[in-house]
Amino acid sequence: MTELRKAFHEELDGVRASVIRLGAMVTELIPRGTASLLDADIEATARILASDDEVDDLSLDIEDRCYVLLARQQPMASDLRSIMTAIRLTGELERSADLVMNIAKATRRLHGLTIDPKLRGLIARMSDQAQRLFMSAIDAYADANADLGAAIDDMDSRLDDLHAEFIRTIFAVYSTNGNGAGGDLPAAVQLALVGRYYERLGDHAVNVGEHTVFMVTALRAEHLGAERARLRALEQEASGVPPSADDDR
Amino acid sequence: MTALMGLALIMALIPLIAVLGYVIQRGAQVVDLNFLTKSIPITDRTIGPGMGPAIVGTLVITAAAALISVPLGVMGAVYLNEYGNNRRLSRIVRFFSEVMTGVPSIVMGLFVYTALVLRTKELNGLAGALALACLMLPVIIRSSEEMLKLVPLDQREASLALGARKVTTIFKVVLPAAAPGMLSGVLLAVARAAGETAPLLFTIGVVSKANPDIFSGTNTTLSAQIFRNAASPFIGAQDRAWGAAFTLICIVFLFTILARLLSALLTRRSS
Amino acid sequence: MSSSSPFSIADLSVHYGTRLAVRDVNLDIEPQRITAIIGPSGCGKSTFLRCLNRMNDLVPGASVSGKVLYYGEDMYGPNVDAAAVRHRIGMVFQKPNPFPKSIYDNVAYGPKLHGSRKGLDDVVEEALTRAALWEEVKDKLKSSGLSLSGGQQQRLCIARALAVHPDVLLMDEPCSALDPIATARIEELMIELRQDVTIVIVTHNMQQAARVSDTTAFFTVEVGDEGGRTGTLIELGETKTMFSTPTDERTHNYITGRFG
Repeated sequence: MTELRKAFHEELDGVRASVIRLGAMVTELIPRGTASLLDADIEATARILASDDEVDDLSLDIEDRCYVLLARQQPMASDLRSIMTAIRLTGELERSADLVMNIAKATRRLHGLTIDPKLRGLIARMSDQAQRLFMSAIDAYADANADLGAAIDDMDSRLDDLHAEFIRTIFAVYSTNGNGAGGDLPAAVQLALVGRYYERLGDHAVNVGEHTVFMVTALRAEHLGAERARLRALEQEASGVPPSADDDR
Repeated sequence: MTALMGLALIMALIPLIAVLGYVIQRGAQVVDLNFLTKSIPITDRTIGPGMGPAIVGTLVITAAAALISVPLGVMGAVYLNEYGNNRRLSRIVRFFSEVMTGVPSIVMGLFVYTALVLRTKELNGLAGALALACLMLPVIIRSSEEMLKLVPLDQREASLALGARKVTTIFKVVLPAAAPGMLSGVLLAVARAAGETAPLLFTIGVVSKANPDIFSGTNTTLSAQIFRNAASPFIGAQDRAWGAAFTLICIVFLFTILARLLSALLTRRSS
Repeated sequence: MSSSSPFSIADLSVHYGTRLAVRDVNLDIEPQRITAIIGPSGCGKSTFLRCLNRMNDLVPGASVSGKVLYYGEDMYGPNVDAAAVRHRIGMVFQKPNPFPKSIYDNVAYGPKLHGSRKGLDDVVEEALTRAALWEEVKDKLKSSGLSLSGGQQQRLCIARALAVHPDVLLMDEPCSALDPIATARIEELMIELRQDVTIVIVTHNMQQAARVSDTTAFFTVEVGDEGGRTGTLIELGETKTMFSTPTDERTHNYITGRFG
């Protein structure tokens, strides 16, 4: 039985390869962003901004190709999910690259300031963890590994813990009441934002994992939540409690 | 209802079986190799074989009629179906062809008699063949045209789309495709012609020795001999008439089977 | 529209008797590409296609005005031999129509017409291979063309057309009588053939046009004052643009299924 629609499947493979490449580009941006922040390297920042333009270019190209594939090829079943996932992943990766850009831009805003060693350590660890999350997420997509994709969420809780610790440390370092160096509010806010960027990176990696799960199994994490809401509605009906105005229907 | 239809079928079959049965019964005993080869006795009174010259005459005259009418008929049908199509000439040809199928055979014989025999002052096999050809021609045109119509238009289109000309298309695609049916129609027309009597009455005369030359000298056929001998009061002549009838039916039967076989062979070869 | 393409149609109109069937078509056919012609029924797409190899000459009462330029020469010019045109521009029809001859004789028919006697075996094998049919029939070349399945018969017709090495292959709804798998195989085949042969396909299945073609032409039917229906070209463009951002509203309505 000869393979049919070869051209179409080759194009699908091409889109998949491009998404993986986009993921690799974003993944290697993370340590660069962190390095430019910790080393206060302004030139590195400029290079990161240029790389972000490349990311934008590639993500637009992938989306265009997906759009044309949808218009021309009437993809079905797993092919359709592949293309939808590619479009979603492109969005997640593109926004992740923007977050790394923001981390890099913080270099300029923190220019001249020395960052407390405890905070530096935590930034490095958050960066590491974020990078690891992305590598796993992209691996999950590349191998169509739904289990790995689902596991990213658990790995992310580590990053969330680090982020919480980072915020506490900022308070410790910058509060006027603590033993810290004294109240430099703009710096503290800037660093808190940086911490937030890493935490958001983790969330995007989780999304990549969830979209991968959808691509493989057609199930989304939201199905569980929707199921819970439905069960609750049924229980309330059964027990005669009138449904309140803000219940899901 | 079914019983009624069965009854009708049996009633239709009875004359057919009766005719065949009677001919076989009276004729088969007369026919032997001698009968088929010996010359016709000069006087009716003679008892004994044969009908050799009549067989030769039937075969030769029918063959000549076929040689004249088949090419003309097939080409005529080709013109009507492939080139004609609603032109005035083809409508006229078709009309007259239909009319001709209704002309009584004896009138056809009379026509050839006045047009040819009286002019050349000669009775010969050719005149008989011409009369038969006139009878066969409209039938062959009709049946060939029907067969040509059955060849789907897309066959012609396929050939033309490859760069073939119309003539090539007709000879390489249409005629081969229509051939099984056309052949069947032609052989049936020939079989009918073999049994014709009336047109030969005025045109071929009579002969007792075999005359394979249709262009000169009178001739005779089985059908003509049946006509002559059946009315005779002499048993010998009557027996020869039955023998001739049996032989003629066998020949027609053979032609029909041949038609079926060839048609099946051609059809099988193309599918 | 530049006329750099060797196959160029200018102001083409077709009358059947007094009825105007197709009007004022201007388009260029890109070489080594697949051009699809889509549109609702009655819009004259098949009529237009048949002008491109003078098959409309066979329809009594049909008359063509305008020019169909092939390598600079108008094929409707006074000294042009229609059979020579059809030798270079082949056609495959909607219903597979193999001759009731053997597979070999079907494919060899075209080359024999134009004089080749030697090397026919190679020509037949090459054509059947290009039509993706060789493996399936190589052991039964003497069996009748009609003994094949519908999809195979259509590929046989394609092989037959390819055997004369045309520059252009016109396909008039070649898959509409076939099941989806046979259709998919012929679509694959078309994509492979495109490198050597320019293909123009009329299809009422616009998804097929979307999948297979490089350029798409959209025809539609206009109803005149006395109710006469005339087909005309509305939009011509790259397929990926036509199906994602068509320019004309009528194209958009047809493609989204709002009418048709």
